[in-house]
Amino acid sequence: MDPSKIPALRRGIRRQYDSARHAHVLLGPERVIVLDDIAVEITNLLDGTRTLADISSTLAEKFAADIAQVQPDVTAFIEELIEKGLATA
Amino acid sequence: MTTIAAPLALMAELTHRCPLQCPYCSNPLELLKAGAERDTKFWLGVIDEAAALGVLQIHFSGGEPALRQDLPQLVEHATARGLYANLITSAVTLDESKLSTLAQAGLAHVQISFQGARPQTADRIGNYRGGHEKKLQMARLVTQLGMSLTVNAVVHRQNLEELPAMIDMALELDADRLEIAHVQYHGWALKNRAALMPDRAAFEAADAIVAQKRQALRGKLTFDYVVPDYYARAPKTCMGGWGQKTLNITPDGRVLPCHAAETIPGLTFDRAGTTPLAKIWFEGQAFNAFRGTAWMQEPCASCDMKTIDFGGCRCQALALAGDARATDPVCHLSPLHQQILEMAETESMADERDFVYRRI
Ligand code: SF4
Ligand code: SF4
Repeated sequence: MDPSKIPALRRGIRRQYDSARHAHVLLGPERVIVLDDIAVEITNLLDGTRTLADISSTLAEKFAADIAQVQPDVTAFIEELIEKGLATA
Repeated sequence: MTTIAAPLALMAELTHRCPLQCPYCSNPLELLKAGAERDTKFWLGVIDEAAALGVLQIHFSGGEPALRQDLPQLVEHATARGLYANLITSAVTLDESKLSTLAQAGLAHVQISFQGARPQTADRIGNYRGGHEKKLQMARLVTQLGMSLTVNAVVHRQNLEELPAMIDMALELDADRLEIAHVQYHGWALKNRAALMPDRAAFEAADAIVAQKRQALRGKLTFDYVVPDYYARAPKTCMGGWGQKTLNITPDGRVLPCHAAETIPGLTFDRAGTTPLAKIWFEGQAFNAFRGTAWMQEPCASCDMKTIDFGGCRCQALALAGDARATDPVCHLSPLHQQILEMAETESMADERDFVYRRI
């Protein structure tokens, strides 16, 4: 995936906190995905204005990590969301 | 007994009324009349209880749920309670103002059924003139209003050749998801099986088309594919396991583990509004009847697949083997498997074209 692309949640996809399962979830047609802490951080930044590169560098900065390590994980997660029909880019 | 997880989804069958008459409808043969339906207050209470129980998705279904005047109110309430609201509809009774009211109420996803790709085919199968054109119009509005769109295409011998055209139609409508479902032979479909069963070659061709298109359209259009299980080697997993993910509430308020569960003798169904939903889910007789694996017979009882497919479909085991506890006869390990396959092949050759249309 090209780092200059701007990923966003697809229409009709919602993120919310589920108090029964004590976790954030992504909800879509026939889809329920329980998000771990990293996934919560990434989806926080899927606001339709940031590029994939921006998202990676924001997270690298926030967690004082090396961007070269962060970017592949972020990319893989977002690609998975796209494949599952939950995000677009 | 292992701990029982909270349900994820609630299927709310608001009504059995429907303007279409699809001959493979999954509703029971004995359809409920309008007078048996529960009121708005009942469904609002169900939504509260479901949300408290941990349900995350609600599917407003039927019959045709849009025939209920209180649908926007129910959608709004469900959304306010944190439920992801889905509408499973034929779309023929919708219009622009109804759809935008529903969108404003928080509806997230609309699934529209299509009976074919050509209007002549589709309108004959649903027995509703002009239906196909109306569905196309409503599908376009769904996405314009920012909701997720699923094109639901039920396929069988009399429309399978339109499968490629149905995929193109989903693309042209800019759908988010395409559900291609071979007919499941329960209820009305079982009655019409000889007019619906595809032959093996047609089903293999369909499989290949879906596999190829699914790959080619990755990330653009999500495919969900329900295989025709008479031709499969292994049965499908029943709703992620009996009593594990989903509750189904009938128009008159009975809570079922599965939409076809009423066909199974010996099950008792509690009523929502009378018994708390949580009690029904955790302790209800029908929910516990086939939970887990302890109820199984051979060959399921000693099979490695038993925690994956849970022995297949209970309703199908009953319909085909005469025993709801039997291995689903579509499984290649069932002693009845060969017989079922031969029957499917024989029926697929029948010239039967006429349907017994669904009627209340
Ligand atoms: S024998 Fe039972 S558990 Fe094993 S594959 Fe067949 S249906 Fe599934
Ligand atoms: S028992 Fe059969 S009809 Fe019922 S949900 Fe399971 S697979 Fe479907």
